Amino acid sequence: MAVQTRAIKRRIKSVKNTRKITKAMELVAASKMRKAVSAVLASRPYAKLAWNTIQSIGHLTDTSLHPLLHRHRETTSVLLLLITSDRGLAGGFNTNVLRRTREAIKTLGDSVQVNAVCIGKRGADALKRLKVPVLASFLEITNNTKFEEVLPIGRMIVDEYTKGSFDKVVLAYTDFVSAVSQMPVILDFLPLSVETVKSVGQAQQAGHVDMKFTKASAYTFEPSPREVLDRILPRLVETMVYQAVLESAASEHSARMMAMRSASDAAGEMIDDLTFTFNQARQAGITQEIAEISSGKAALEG
Amino acid sequence: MKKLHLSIVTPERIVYEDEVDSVSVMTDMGEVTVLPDHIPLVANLRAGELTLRKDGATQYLVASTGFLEVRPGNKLIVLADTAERAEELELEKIEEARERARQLLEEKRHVDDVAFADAAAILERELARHRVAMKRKKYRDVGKTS
Repeated sequence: MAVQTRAIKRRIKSVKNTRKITKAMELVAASKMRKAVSAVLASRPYAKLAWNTIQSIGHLTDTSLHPLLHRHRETTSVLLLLITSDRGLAGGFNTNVLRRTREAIKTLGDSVQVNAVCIGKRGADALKRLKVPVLASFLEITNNTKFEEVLPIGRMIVDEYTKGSFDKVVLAYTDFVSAVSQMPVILDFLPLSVETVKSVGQAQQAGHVDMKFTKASAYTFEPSPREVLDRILPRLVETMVYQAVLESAASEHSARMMAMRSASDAAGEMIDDLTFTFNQARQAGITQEIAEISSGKAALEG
Repeated sequence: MKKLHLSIVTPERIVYEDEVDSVSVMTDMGEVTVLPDHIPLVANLRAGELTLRKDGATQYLVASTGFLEVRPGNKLIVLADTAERAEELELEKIEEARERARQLLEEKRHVDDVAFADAAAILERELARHRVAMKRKKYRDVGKTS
Protein backbone atom coordinates (compact mmCIF):
# COMPACT_ATOMS: atom_id res chain seq x y z
CA MET A 1 0.00 0.00 0.00
CA ALA A 2 2.80 2.39 0.90
CA VAL A 3 4.31 1.77 -2.52
CA GLN A 4 1.14 2.90 -4.25
CA THR A 5 0.77 6.13 -2.28
CA ARG A 6 4.40 6.99 -2.91
CA ALA A 7 3.89 6.58 -6.67
CA ILE A 8 0.84 8.84 -6.62
CA LYS A 9 2.70 11.41 -4.57
CA ARG A 10 5.53 11.51 -7.12
CA ARG A 11 3.02 11.93 -9.90
CA ILE A 12 1.32 14.87 -8.16
CA LYS A 13 4.68 16.56 -7.72
CA SER A 14 5.53 16.21 -11.39
CA VAL A 15 2.16 17.56 -12.56
CA LYS A 16 2.56 20.48 -10.16
CA ASN A 17 5.90 21.32 -11.75
CA THR A 18 4.36 21.14 -15.21
CA ARG A 19 1.64 23.49 -14.10
CA LYS A 20 4.22 25.95 -12.82
CA ILE A 21 5.89 25.96 -16.23
CA THR A 22 2.70 26.36 -18.24
CA LYS A 23 1.55 29.10 -15.88
CA ALA A 24 4.81 30.99 -16.43
CA MET A 25 4.54 30.55 -20.19
CA GLU A 26 1.00 31.83 -20.07
CA LEU A 27 2.07 34.99 -18.29
CA VAL A 28 4.96 35.57 -20.69
CA ALA A 29 2.66 35.08 -23.69
CA ALA A 30 0.10 37.43 -22.18
CA SER A 31 2.60 40.25 -21.81
CA LYS A 32 3.98 39.66 -25.31
CA MET A 33 0.45 39.62 -26.63
CA ARG A 34 -0.32 42.99 -25.12
CA LYS A 35 2.70 44.47 -26.86
CA ALA A 36 1.87 42.80 -30.17
CA VAL A 37 -1.75 43.86 -30.07
CA SER A 38 -0.92 47.50 -29.46
CA ALA A 39 1.55 47.35 -32.37
CA VAL A 40 -1.15 45.92 -34.63
CA LEU A 41 -3.60 48.63 -33.71
CA ALA A 42 -1.00 51.37 -34.15
CA SER A 43 -0.07 50.30 -37.67
CA ARG A 44 -3.57 49.86 -39.04
CA PRO A 45 -4.27 53.57 -39.79
CA TYR A 46 -1.25 53.85 -42.09
CA ALA A 47 -2.36 51.06 -44.42
CA LYS A 48 -5.87 52.47 -44.46
CA LEU A 49 -4.81 56.01 -45.27
CA ALA A 50 -2.34 54.89 -47.92
CA TRP A 51 -5.05 52.92 -49.64
CA ASN A 52 -7.44 55.87 -49.48
CA THR A 53 -4.84 57.96 -51.25
CA ILE A 54 -4.48 55.37 -53.99
CA GLN A 55 -8.21 55.32 -54.44
CA SER A 56 -8.37 59.05 -54.89
CA ILE A 57 -5.64 58.77 -57.50
CA GLY A 58 -7.53 55.93 -59.12
CA HIS A 59 -10.40 58.27 -59.92
CA LEU A 60 -8.18 60.29 -62.17
CA THR A 61 -5.71 57.92 -63.75
CA ASP A 62 -5.76 54.51 -65.29
CA THR A 63 -4.31 52.59 -62.40
CA SER A 64 -4.41 49.30 -64.28
CA LEU A 65 -1.32 50.43 -66.15
CA HIS A 66 0.88 50.08 -63.12
CA PRO A 67 2.62 46.68 -62.96
CA LEU A 68 1.54 46.06 -59.38
CA LEU A 69 -2.11 46.49 -60.30
CA HIS A 70 -1.97 44.75 -63.64
CA ARG A 71 -3.61 41.34 -63.72
CA HIS A 72 -1.84 38.54 -65.59
CA ARG A 73 -4.10 36.57 -67.87
CA GLU A 74 -2.77 33.14 -67.00
CA THR A 75 -1.37 31.95 -63.75
CA THR A 76 1.52 29.54 -64.15
CA SER A 77 3.71 30.42 -61.21
CA VAL A 78 2.75 31.60 -57.79
CA LEU A 79 4.78 32.99 -54.95
CA LEU A 80 3.51 32.00 -51.55
CA LEU A 81 4.36 34.20 -48.59
CA LEU A 82 3.71 32.17 -45.47
CA ILE A 83 3.81 33.72 -42.03
CA THR A 84 4.05 31.40 -39.05
CA SER A 85 5.81 31.43 -35.70
CA ASP A 86 9.35 30.36 -34.84
CA ARG A 87 8.30 28.33 -31.84
CA GLY A 88 5.67 25.74 -31.17
CA LEU A 89 3.46 25.21 -28.13
CA ALA A 90 0.94 27.68 -29.42
CA GLY A 91 -2.08 25.43 -29.66
CA GLY A 92 -3.47 25.14 -33.16
CA PHE A 93 -1.87 28.34 -34.38
CA ASN A 94 0.65 26.92 -36.86
CA THR A 95 -1.42 23.85 -37.66
CA ASN A 96 -4.40 25.92 -38.73
CA VAL A 97 -2.54 28.24 -41.06
CA LEU A 98 -0.56 25.33 -42.52
CA ARG A 99 -3.70 23.33 -43.16
CA ARG A 100 -5.23 26.26 -45.04
CA THR A 101 -1.98 26.64 -46.97
CA ARG A 102 -1.92 22.96 -47.99
CA GLU A 103 -5.52 23.22 -49.18
CA ALA A 104 -4.69 26.36 -51.16
CA ILE A 105 -1.72 24.70 -52.84
CA LYS A 106 -3.88 21.72 -53.72
CA THR A 107 -6.59 23.86 -55.31
CA LEU A 108 -4.01 25.61 -57.47
CA GLY A 109 -3.35 22.28 -59.17
CA ASP A 110 -0.26 20.65 -60.62
CA SER A 111 0.07 22.99 -63.58
CA VAL A 112 1.03 25.86 -61.30
CA GLN A 113 4.55 26.15 -60.02
CA VAL A 114 4.52 27.22 -56.37
CA ASN A 115 7.51 28.85 -54.73
CA ALA A 116 7.51 30.05 -51.18
CA VAL A 117 8.96 32.74 -48.99
CA CYS A 118 8.62 31.97 -45.32
CA ILE A 119 8.55 34.11 -42.26
CA GLY A 120 8.89 31.89 -39.22
CA LYS A 121 10.65 28.57 -38.76
CA ARG A 122 7.59 26.35 -38.45
CA GLY A 123 6.27 27.24 -41.87
CA ALA A 124 9.64 26.77 -43.53
CA ASP A 125 10.00 23.31 -42.00
CA ALA A 126 6.51 22.27 -43.03
CA LEU A 127 6.96 23.42 -46.62
CA LYS A 128 10.24 21.56 -46.90
CA ARG A 129 8.37 18.43 -45.93
CA LEU A 130 5.77 19.21 -48.61
CA LYS A 131 8.61 19.60 -51.13
CA VAL A 132 7.67 23.17 -51.96
CA PRO A 133 10.80 25.12 -52.95
CA VAL A 134 11.52 27.79 -50.34
CA LEU A 135 13.24 30.77 -51.94
CA ALA A 136 13.90 32.61 -48.73
CA SER A 137 13.18 32.08 -45.08
CA PHE A 138 13.18 34.82 -42.48
CA LEU A 139 13.57 33.79 -38.87
CA GLU A 140 13.47 35.57 -35.55
CA ILE A 141 11.64 38.63 -36.77
CA THR A 142 8.13 37.90 -35.61
CA ASN A 143 8.85 39.10 -32.10
CA ASN A 144 8.66 42.85 -31.59
CA THR A 145 8.93 43.56 -35.29
CA LYS A 146 10.25 46.85 -36.61
CA PHE A 147 9.16 48.23 -39.97
CA GLU A 148 12.75 48.30 -41.23
CA GLU A 149 13.09 44.58 -40.58
CA VAL A 150 10.18 43.73 -42.82
CA LEU A 151 11.15 46.19 -45.55
CA PRO A 152 13.52 43.84 -47.41
CA ILE A 153 10.81 41.16 -47.62
CA GLY A 154 8.32 43.54 -49.17
CA ARG A 155 10.94 44.91 -51.50
CA MET A 156 11.97 41.45 -52.63
CA ILE A 157 8.37 40.53 -53.42
CA VAL A 158 7.78 43.73 -55.37
CA ASP A 159 11.02 43.24 -57.32
CA GLU A 160 10.28 39.63 -58.19
CA TYR A 161 6.74 40.45 -59.18
CA THR A 162 7.61 43.42 -61.40
CA LYS A 163 10.35 41.34 -63.03
CA GLY A 164 7.61 38.93 -64.00
CA SER A 165 8.99 35.89 -62.17
CA PHE A 166 5.53 35.25 -60.75
CA ASP A 167 2.01 35.84 -62.00
CA LYS A 168 0.51 36.01 -58.59
CA VAL A 169 1.58 36.43 -54.99
CA VAL A 170 -0.45 34.70 -52.32
CA LEU A 171 -0.20 35.59 -48.68
CA ALA A 172 -0.94 33.11 -45.90
CA TYR A 173 -1.07 34.42 -42.36
CA THR A 174 -3.28 34.51 -39.29
CA ASP A 175 -5.55 37.46 -38.80
CA PHE A 176 -5.91 38.69 -35.25
CA VAL A 177 -9.58 39.00 -34.40
CA SER A 178 -9.44 38.94 -30.62
CA ALA A 179 -7.50 37.27 -27.84
CA VAL A 180 -9.67 34.18 -28.09
CA SER A 181 -10.17 34.05 -31.82
CA GLN A 182 -7.63 34.05 -34.64
CA MET A 183 -8.40 33.35 -38.24
CA PRO A 184 -6.00 31.78 -40.73
CA VAL A 185 -6.29 33.66 -44.00
CA ILE A 186 -5.18 32.94 -47.57
CA LEU A 187 -5.11 36.08 -49.60
CA ASP A 188 -4.38 36.96 -53.22
CA PHE A 189 -1.84 39.62 -52.49
CA LEU A 190 -0.50 40.79 -55.84
CA PRO A 191 -1.80 42.12 -58.16
CA LEU A 192 -3.24 44.54 -55.65
CA SER A 193 -6.97 44.93 -55.48
CA VAL A 194 -9.45 46.65 -53.24
CA GLU A 195 -10.36 43.37 -51.55
CA THR A 196 -6.74 42.67 -50.70
CA VAL A 197 -6.17 45.84 -48.79
CA LYS A 198 -9.52 45.79 -47.11
CA SER A 199 -9.06 42.31 -45.76
CA VAL A 200 -5.70 42.68 -44.01
CA GLY A 201 -6.78 43.38 -40.48
CA GLN A 202 -10.40 43.53 -41.52
CA ALA A 203 -11.69 42.60 -38.10
CA GLN A 204 -11.28 46.05 -36.68
CA GLN A 205 -11.19 48.05 -39.86
CA ALA A 206 -14.60 47.19 -41.21
CA GLY A 207 -16.85 50.18 -41.60
CA HIS A 208 -14.01 52.67 -41.54
CA VAL A 209 -13.72 53.18 -45.27
CA ASP A 210 -15.37 56.45 -46.02
CA MET A 211 -14.59 57.54 -49.52
CA LYS A 212 -17.49 59.82 -50.33
CA PHE A 213 -15.56 63.03 -50.25
CA THR A 214 -12.96 62.11 -52.84
CA LYS A 215 -15.51 61.97 -55.59
CA ALA A 216 -15.19 64.65 -58.26
CA SER A 217 -12.52 66.51 -56.38
CA ALA A 218 -9.78 67.77 -58.62
CA TYR A 219 -6.49 66.58 -57.24
CA THR A 220 -3.15 68.11 -58.04
CA PHE A 221 -0.21 65.74 -58.26
CA GLU A 222 3.39 66.56 -57.64
CA PRO A 223 5.34 65.56 -59.64
CA SER A 224 2.80 63.39 -61.56
CA PRO A 225 0.18 60.73 -60.80
CA ARG A 226 2.43 58.04 -62.23
CA GLU A 227 5.39 59.01 -60.11
CA VAL A 228 3.27 59.21 -57.00
CA LEU A 229 1.91 55.73 -57.74
CA ASP A 230 5.41 54.41 -58.35
CA ARG A 231 6.31 55.44 -54.87
CA ILE A 232 3.13 54.70 -52.99
CA LEU A 233 2.32 51.21 -54.30
CA PRO A 234 5.54 49.46 -53.30
CA ARG A 235 5.26 51.19 -49.96
CA LEU A 236 1.74 49.90 -49.55
CA VAL A 237 2.91 46.36 -50.26
CA GLU A 238 5.65 46.71 -47.64
CA THR A 239 3.18 48.10 -45.16
CA MET A 240 0.82 45.22 -45.73
CA VAL A 241 3.54 42.65 -45.22
CA TYR A 242 4.43 44.45 -42.02
CA GLN A 243 0.79 44.49 -40.99
CA ALA A 244 0.44 40.77 -41.72
CA VAL A 245 3.53 39.98 -39.64
CA LEU A 246 2.11 41.99 -36.75
CA GLU A 247 -1.30 40.36 -37.03
CA SER A 248 0.38 37.00 -37.06
CA ALA A 249 2.52 37.81 -34.02
CA ALA A 250 -0.48 39.01 -32.06
CA SER A 251 -2.35 35.85 -33.01
CA GLU A 252 0.59 33.64 -32.10
CA HIS A 253 0.91 35.07 -28.62
CA SER A 254 -2.84 34.95 -28.01
CA ALA A 255 -2.99 31.36 -29.22
CA ARG A 256 -0.06 30.43 -26.99
CA MET A 257 -1.62 32.16 -24.05
CA MET A 258 -4.89 30.31 -24.51
CA ALA A 259 -3.11 26.98 -25.03
CA MET A 260 -1.06 27.49 -21.90
CA ARG A 261 -4.08 28.55 -19.91
CA SER A 262 -5.96 25.40 -20.81
CA ALA A 263 -2.84 23.35 -20.07
CA SER A 264 -2.62 24.94 -16.62
CA ASP A 265 -6.32 24.29 -16.05
CA ALA A 266 -5.95 20.67 -17.14
CA ALA A 267 -2.98 20.26 -14.82
CA GLY A 268 -5.03 21.69 -11.96
CA GLU A 269 -7.82 19.21 -12.59
CA MET A 270 -5.34 16.37 -12.77
CA ILE A 271 -3.82 17.39 -9.44
CA ASP A 272 -7.30 17.39 -7.84
CA ASP A 273 -8.00 13.93 -9.22
CA LEU A 274 -4.67 12.55 -8.10
CA THR A 275 -4.99 14.08 -4.63
CA PHE A 276 -8.38 12.40 -4.29
CA THR A 277 -6.98 9.03 -5.33
CA PHE A 278 -4.02 9.54 -3.02
CA ASN A 279 -6.27 10.24 -0.03
CA GLN A 280 -8.39 7.22 -0.85
CA ALA A 281 -5.35 4.97 -1.05
CA ARG A 282 -3.94 6.35 2.19
CA GLN A 283 -7.26 5.89 4.00
CA ALA A 284 -7.57 2.35 2.63
CA GLY A 285 -4.12 1.60 4.00
CA ILE A 286 -5.02 2.94 7.43
CA THR A 287 -8.31 1.01 7.52
CA GLN A 288 -6.55 -2.17 6.55
CA GLU A 289 -3.89 -1.73 9.23
CA ILE A 290 -6.54 -1.17 11.89
CA ALA A 291 -8.40 -4.25 10.69
CA GLU A 292 -5.17 -6.26 10.90
CA ILE A 293 -4.40 -5.02 14.42
CA SER A 294 -7.92 -5.59 15.74
CA SER A 295 -8.13 -9.04 14.16
CA GLY A 296 -4.71 -9.91 15.60
CA LYS A 297 -5.87 -8.78 19.02
CA ALA A 298 -9.11 -10.74 18.68
CA ALA A 299 -7.06 -13.86 17.83
CA LEU A 300 -4.89 -13.40 20.97
CA GLU A 301 -7.92 -12.89 23.25
CA GLY A 302 -9.79 -15.78 21.74
CA MET B 1 -10.46 81.10 -38.21
CA LYS B 2 -10.33 77.96 -40.27
CA LYS B 3 -8.07 75.20 -39.10
CA LEU B 4 -6.34 72.36 -40.82
CA HIS B 5 -6.72 68.85 -39.49
CA LEU B 6 -3.24 67.35 -39.60
CA SER B 7 -2.38 63.67 -39.11
CA ILE B 8 1.19 62.48 -39.35
CA VAL B 9 1.21 58.70 -39.57
CA THR B 10 4.06 56.20 -39.88
CA PRO B 11 3.68 52.44 -40.25
CA GLU B 12 4.51 52.10 -36.57
CA ARG B 13 2.34 54.75 -34.96
CA ILE B 14 0.42 57.99 -35.26
CA VAL B 15 2.98 60.67 -34.53
CA TYR B 16 0.78 63.72 -34.51
CA GLU B 17 -2.89 64.48 -34.84
CA ASP B 18 -4.38 67.88 -34.17
CA GLU B 19 -5.91 71.03 -35.62
CA VAL B 20 -3.22 73.43 -36.85
CA ASP B 21 -3.00 76.73 -38.71
CA SER B 22 -0.37 75.86 -41.30
CA VAL B 23 2.16 73.19 -42.18
CA SER B 24 5.38 73.45 -44.19
CA VAL B 25 6.98 70.30 -45.59
CA MET B 26 9.66 69.33 -48.07
CA THR B 27 8.40 67.60 -51.19
CA ASP B 28 10.16 66.44 -54.35
CA MET B 29 9.21 69.73 -55.96
CA GLY B 30 10.46 71.91 -53.13
CA GLU B 31 9.05 73.17 -49.88
CA VAL B 32 5.29 73.44 -49.69
CA THR B 33 3.27 75.32 -47.13
CA VAL B 34 -0.28 74.16 -46.71
CA LEU B 35 -2.85 76.59 -45.34
CA PRO B 36 -6.54 75.95 -44.72
CA ASP B 37 -8.61 75.72 -47.92
CA HIS B 38 -5.70 74.39 -49.93
CA ILE B 39 -6.75 72.59 -53.11
CA PRO B 40 -6.57 68.77 -53.01
CA LEU B 41 -3.00 67.67 -53.55
CA VAL B 42 -0.95 64.51 -53.52
CA ALA B 43 2.81 64.91 -53.39
CA ASN B 44 5.88 62.83 -52.72
CA LEU B 45 7.58 63.75 -49.51
CA ARG B 46 11.27 64.21 -49.08
CA ALA B 47 13.33 63.70 -45.92
CA GLY B 48 13.34 67.02 -44.17
CA GLU B 49 11.91 69.32 -41.66
CA LEU B 50 8.22 69.64 -41.07
CA THR B 51 7.13 72.87 -39.47
CA LEU B 52 3.68 73.38 -38.11
CA ARG B 53 2.16 76.48 -36.65
CA LYS B 54 -0.65 76.42 -34.18
CA ASP B 55 -2.07 79.40 -32.34
CA GLY B 56 1.09 81.42 -32.90
CA ALA B 57 3.41 78.69 -31.62
CA THR B 58 5.74 76.83 -33.98
CA GLN B 59 6.61 73.18 -33.68
CA TYR B 60 9.31 71.29 -35.51
CA LEU B 61 9.19 67.69 -36.61
CA VAL B 62 11.38 65.70 -38.88
CA ALA B 63 9.95 63.33 -41.46
CA SER B 64 11.61 61.02 -43.94
CA THR B 65 10.33 60.00 -47.36
CA GLY B 66 6.66 59.34 -47.85
CA PHE B 67 3.58 61.12 -49.16
CA LEU B 68 1.46 64.04 -48.39
CA GLU B 69 -2.21 64.25 -49.17
CA VAL B 70 -4.43 67.27 -48.84
CA ARG B 71 -8.04 66.20 -48.83
CA PRO B 72 -11.08 68.32 -49.35
CA GLY B 73 -12.49 69.45 -46.05
CA ASN B 74 -9.21 70.84 -44.73
CA LYS B 75 -7.59 67.52 -44.00
CA LEU B 76 -3.88 67.05 -44.35
CA ILE B 77 -2.41 63.58 -44.12
CA VAL B 78 1.30 62.95 -43.99
CA LEU B 79 2.32 59.35 -44.53
CA ALA B 80 6.00 59.12 -43.69
CA ASP B 81 8.34 56.17 -43.28
CA THR B 82 9.59 57.66 -40.05
CA ALA B 83 8.72 60.85 -38.25
CA GLU B 84 9.73 62.30 -34.94
CA ARG B 85 8.98 65.37 -32.96
CA ALA B 86 11.96 67.59 -32.30
CA GLU B 87 11.69 66.80 -28.57
CA GLU B 88 12.32 63.14 -29.30
CA LEU B 89 15.57 63.73 -31.12
CA GLU B 90 18.87 63.16 -29.39
CA LEU B 91 21.74 65.04 -30.93
CA GLU B 92 24.55 62.64 -29.97
CA LYS B 93 22.77 59.65 -31.36
CA ILE B 94 21.96 61.48 -34.58
CA GLU B 95 25.56 62.55 -35.05
CA GLU B 96 26.63 58.97 -34.59
CA ALA B 97 24.04 57.76 -37.08
CA ARG B 98 25.06 60.44 -39.55
CA GLU B 99 28.67 59.30 -39.43
CA ARG B 100 27.60 55.72 -39.91
CA ALA B 101 25.47 56.72 -42.87
CA ARG B 102 28.41 58.63 -44.41
CA GLN B 103 30.66 55.60 -44.07
CA LEU B 104 28.01 53.36 -45.54
CA LEU B 105 27.69 55.68 -48.49
CA GLU B 106 31.45 55.53 -49.10
CA GLU B 107 31.45 51.75 -48.88
CA LYS B 108 28.56 51.33 -51.25
CA ARG B 109 29.72 53.88 -53.79
CA HIS B 110 31.43 51.24 -55.89
CA VAL B 111 29.28 48.25 -55.01
CA ASP B 112 25.93 48.66 -56.70
CA ASP B 113 23.42 51.34 -57.51
CA VAL B 114 20.58 50.13 -55.34
CA ALA B 115 22.68 49.90 -52.19
CA PHE B 116 24.16 53.28 -52.97
CA ALA B 117 20.72 54.84 -53.37
CA ASP B 118 19.61 53.28 -50.08
CA ALA B 119 22.66 54.60 -48.29
CA ALA B 120 22.11 58.04 -49.79
CA ALA B 121 18.51 58.02 -48.57
CA ILE B 122 19.63 57.06 -45.06
CA LEU B 123 22.19 59.83 -45.05
CA GLU B 124 19.62 62.33 -46.23
CA ARG B 125 17.29 61.30 -43.43
CA GLU B 126 19.98 61.63 -40.81
CA LEU B 127 21.02 65.04 -42.14
CA ALA B 128 17.42 66.23 -41.90
CA ARG B 129 17.23 64.95 -38.35
CA HIS B 130 20.44 66.68 -37.50
CA ARG B 131 19.23 69.98 -38.91
CA VAL B 132 16.07 69.91 -36.85
CA ALA B 133 17.87 68.80 -33.71
CA MET B 134 20.40 71.63 -34.08
CA LYS B 135 17.64 74.16 -34.56
CA ARG B 136 15.89 72.95 -31.48
CA LYS B 137 19.08 73.13 -29.47
CA LYS B 138 19.52 76.72 -30.48
CA TYR B 139 16.03 77.60 -29.29
CA ARG B 140 16.50 75.75 -26.07
CA ASP B 141 19.70 77.64 -25.32
CA VAL B 142 18.03 80.94 -26.05
CA GLY B 143 15.34 79.97 -23.58
CA LYS B 144 17.97 79.27 -20.91
CA THR B 145 19.76 82.60 -21.13
CA SER B 146 16.67 84.77 -21.01
